[in-house]
Amino acid sequence: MFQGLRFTRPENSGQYEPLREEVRAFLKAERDAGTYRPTGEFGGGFSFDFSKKLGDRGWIGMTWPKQYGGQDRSFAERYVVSEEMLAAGAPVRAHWTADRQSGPLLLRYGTEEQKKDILPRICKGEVCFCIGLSEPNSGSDLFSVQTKAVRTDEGWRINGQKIWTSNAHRAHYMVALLRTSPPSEDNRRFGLTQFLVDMKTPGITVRPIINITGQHDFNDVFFDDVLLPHEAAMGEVDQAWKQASAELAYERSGPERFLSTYLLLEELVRCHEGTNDARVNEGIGRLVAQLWTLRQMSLSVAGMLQAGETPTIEASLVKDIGTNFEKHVPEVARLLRPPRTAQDRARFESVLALATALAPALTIRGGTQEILRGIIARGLGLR
Amino acid sequence: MSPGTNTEMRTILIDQASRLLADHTGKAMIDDVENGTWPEDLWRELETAGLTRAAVAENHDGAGADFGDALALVRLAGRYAAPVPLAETLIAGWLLSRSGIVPPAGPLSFATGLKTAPLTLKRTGATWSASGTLYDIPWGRRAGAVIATGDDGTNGTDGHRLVILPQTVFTVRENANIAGEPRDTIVLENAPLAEDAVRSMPGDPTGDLGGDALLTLGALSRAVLIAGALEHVLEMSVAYALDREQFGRPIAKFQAIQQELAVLAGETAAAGAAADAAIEAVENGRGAFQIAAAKIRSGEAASQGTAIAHQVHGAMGFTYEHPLHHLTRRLWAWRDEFGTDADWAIRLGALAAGEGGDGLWPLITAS
Repeated sequence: MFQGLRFTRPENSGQYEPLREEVRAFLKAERDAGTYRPTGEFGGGFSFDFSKKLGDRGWIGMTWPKQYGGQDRSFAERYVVSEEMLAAGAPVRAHWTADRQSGPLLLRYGTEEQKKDILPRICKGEVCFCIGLSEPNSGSDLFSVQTKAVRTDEGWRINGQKIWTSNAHRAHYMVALLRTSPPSEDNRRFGLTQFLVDMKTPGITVRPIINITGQHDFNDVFFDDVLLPHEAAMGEVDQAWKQASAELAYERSGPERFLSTYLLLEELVRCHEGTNDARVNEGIGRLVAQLWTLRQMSLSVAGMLQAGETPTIEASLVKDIGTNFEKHVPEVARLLRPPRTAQDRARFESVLALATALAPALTIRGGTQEILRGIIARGLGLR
Repeated sequence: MSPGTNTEMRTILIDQASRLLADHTGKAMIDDVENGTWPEDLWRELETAGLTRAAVAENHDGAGADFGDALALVRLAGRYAAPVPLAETLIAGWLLSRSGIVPPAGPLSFATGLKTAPLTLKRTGATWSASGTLYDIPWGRRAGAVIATGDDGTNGTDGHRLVILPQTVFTVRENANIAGEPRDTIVLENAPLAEDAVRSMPGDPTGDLGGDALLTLGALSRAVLIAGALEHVLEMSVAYALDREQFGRPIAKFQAIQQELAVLAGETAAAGAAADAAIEAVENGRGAFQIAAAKIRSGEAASQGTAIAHQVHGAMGFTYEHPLHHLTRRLWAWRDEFGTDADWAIRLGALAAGEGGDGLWPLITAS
């Protein structure tokens, strides 16, 4: 039965302002030094050099225990660093997935040896993770995954193919969802296990897939008789479906779900400094109100997660509304183009072009809008 | 105390108000009020329970609850489509009381400068007279007093005064919004006012976004009413979809309906989250940005939410007999009252553009 939606007010984040200022000062210095320039790519650019600088400052794996290289800091502090990086268009892709989900997964299900080996290197900004979920015949229907992991005396034998795997060509590790048993009669989600895959393992082939912007982001990944050690299986074998809920809530409700096209909004405002046109102001005002509201909702979910709750519907709502907001930004911006003479028009056009072309992916990646709405509908008691 | 975190006081107020509103706001009763009946019983019960003066100081004959408590009651008024000036009375009472003025007894209402020029004030010895026309005054015909802005003729807005108009000094031309809620025109012609009916303008408790305190707080009240009404609309729509069968099964089982209701849930959540954040900002002595944003976002949610709710309810929801319209027609009215989402977006956009590209993100994180 539907119990109503709950977005409790997040704690006052005023106490983290010194951290926020520190991050902003760092980012400004990096931009001034020409280390990076925001382009509007997904999650910023990819740079191990940059990730290592963040690692030096203790801004990766912030919430993890110190014994594994973390800082034992709060999720609220991690949120501050994350949103500042995204809003500034910083090149954070190299460590983003590891920091957000693979590291926490290892903390929970990894062996002591894996944790000691990998987590400190993630924290230093040296390690990139990718996530192997989709397959040619398993997109939204994730539980139909067929790439097999067979237990043998030497370890797990993997055969099959993953697709749409972002960063596979640069990643050191993959967390792969693989079939270890057939689904059971009463539970089609049974029989899948998460594996820690070292991408250097023989038998793995990565082939690029170029997206509509001309960029190489995602890939085909082929597994041809790949042998993984026994301890590569993470958590309970066949029970991966039970393990995901908190991680998924983090993945769905974070600032990356509404800031992907923030740079374009910023450029729109920059181009119209001093314009003071009612039509422009209305367009900007609506986007600002929508963005501000999303941030309140996202902070609220982060607070509930920190308090040990699992706000599944609320997290899904943030992603659904957030990604649709991201798609909406270029639609508004294109109609409010500044005049040709405006100083930053060339930059505005390039950011707009990229946002427009990236927009279709925003409501597909990480769970389509339709799947998310199905999850919300289940939470409403409709199915 | 922040919204969503209930103190004992707030829990008691919410329980009391929920019970009263649930008992007194049936379909027939709201129909009757729309046809001109004043719901004497409901109002008396609300007054007796101290709910109408919840956020008035105890030494001003109030319950001494805080702003967040009062707005929690406004949200309930939205949820139940309560056909009484509860939101207006609560907010006017809070504003007067915190300005050191004992709020007049009875239902209160207020006028904003949005569609209305300030009243013209003339001083004659120890007394004043006021002239002018005020439009769209919620429940003007029933208000024991209406709070408005007057201009005493001195320097521009420096001459603006808060004027407390007892019902004896004005004539009322009855009018109503799309939901049939009284939105009256009030006319004053050299209306005599006692000296203490004209006060200095209280500072806008929320900072300044080019509006006055009455406009800003009125906008917040509408955002909160919308949040409350949408919650109820979502519950009704979910319940209807589970109940209504077509093609041999409840329409809730169709993905098309599920997807629509998921969007309605999102809009409901967004309106609620924005309203809560705006209330919290006012409690912290801010709110100009947040109220503007909440009015915009709740207005958008009202537009999209009502469309989905009606689509899901089909022809049944289009009948006068079905109670859905008591909420949806209010949502259509409230999104336009005290400034439409477009009006506030123009203001907020100007504010954001004023900060410039580099100032935008700091503005959002600080608000």
